[in-house]
Amino acid sequence: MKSIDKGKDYYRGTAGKYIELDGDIAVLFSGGGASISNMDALIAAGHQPANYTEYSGNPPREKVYQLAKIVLSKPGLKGLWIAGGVANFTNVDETFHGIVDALSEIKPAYPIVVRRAGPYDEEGMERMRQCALVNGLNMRLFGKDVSMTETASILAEMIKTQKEPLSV
Amino acid sequence: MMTKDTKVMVQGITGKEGRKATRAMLDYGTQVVAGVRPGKAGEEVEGVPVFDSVADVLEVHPDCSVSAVYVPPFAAKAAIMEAIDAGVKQINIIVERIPIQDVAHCIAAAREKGVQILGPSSLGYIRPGVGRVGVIGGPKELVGEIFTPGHIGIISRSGGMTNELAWQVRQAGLGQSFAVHVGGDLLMGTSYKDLLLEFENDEQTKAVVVFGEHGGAQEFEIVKIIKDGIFTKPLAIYIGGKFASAFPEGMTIGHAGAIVERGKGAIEKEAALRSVGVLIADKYEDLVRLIKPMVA
Repeated sequence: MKSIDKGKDYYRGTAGKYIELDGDIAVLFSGGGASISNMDALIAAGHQPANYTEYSGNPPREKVYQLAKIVLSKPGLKGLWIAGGVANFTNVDETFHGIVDALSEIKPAYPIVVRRAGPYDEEGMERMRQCALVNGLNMRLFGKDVSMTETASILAEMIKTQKEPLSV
Repeated sequence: MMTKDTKVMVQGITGKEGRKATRAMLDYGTQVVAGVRPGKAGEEVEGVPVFDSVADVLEVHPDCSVSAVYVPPFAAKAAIMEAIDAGVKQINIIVERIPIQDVAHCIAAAREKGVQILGPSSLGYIRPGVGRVGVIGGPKELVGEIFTPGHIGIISRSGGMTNELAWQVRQAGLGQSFAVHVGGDLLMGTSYKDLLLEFENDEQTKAVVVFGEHGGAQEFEIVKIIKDGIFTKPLAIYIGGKFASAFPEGMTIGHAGAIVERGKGAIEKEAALRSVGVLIADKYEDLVRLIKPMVA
């Protein structure tokens, strides 16, 4: 377990906890509650998480970047699920900025699903979209109209399609 | 429960989080009558006058019954004890990472004096259309999109999920009577049981949904109040953390109170609740699907 939320920004948000697990789906969850319901949802969708990771309480971009880099650096990943509920005050754009920093460095080839809403979600989603375009990422984005649970199944479907291309 | 007349003070109002919460409350129509910050009496934050102490606030506003505590963790115990000793009726503690011995001390002192503590680590609560204590619902553009007066009570261990559940309720064409973030710590000033008994007495509330987590024994208290016939309204619960049973006992996954314990996992809790007629949701969004027919 690596602890990376020490120092001057210690009290601003949790980002957080990284517990390495045996699976191959990387997860970046927002919120303590959402993180545990999403772990259950991912397993119910037929996949095993590569890690348990959560950030919450409006952490700064740098903290989220460091966390995302650790999560994305595990070898053998098959997918990435970035999910959180409708945030109260966490700045979706700023926290996504940290994730975008890490994604732009690592440029994963596996499918990525994002589900998030809350303050500055439009800006955050646009930032993600641009990151996916520039880096050629296989990414799908969802807001609050689709539940977090449903997006686990969407990721599972994307992984299946990627593995076994449809032949006619 | 909160009314239009409820008056609130903010301890730690001059800090960044205190200021933000003050703005959020004022924006939603809450009467924030005072702030507290020793040495800063006479200043104003968001138009709210600052006092040196809780006692000074109560001298001017004897009917101010609620304090929202936004001080740093090391100062939390002193701030909470000050509010208890001065005679505030209800204290919402948003502060996270308060040393557990301090929390235990404050909760015990509050019980002795009949003071209600909500939290720690609680973003607060909202009575849609009436007001809110804390920041549940977020900025004013967002809060109106998520919350509308209705008949569903919401209790959540998670601040984010309080909002997410409220959205699910809204998306289903319903409204909320009261949504409370109880906080995710091991020790809690207000439990599910305490709130359910308040919901039982609240005419506006017709049914309740709960977002629960593995760890702790609170759900077993719900079983008891239903068996005893003192909570009778329809209730649906989601308990997250089934995956956690594969982890070592004693490990914390999620909030501070979400500790892996044998016999108190999500599955054991669900079985006990189901036995007294509580609706169990497999996915959090099923809470609304299960409860909707009960309020039609």
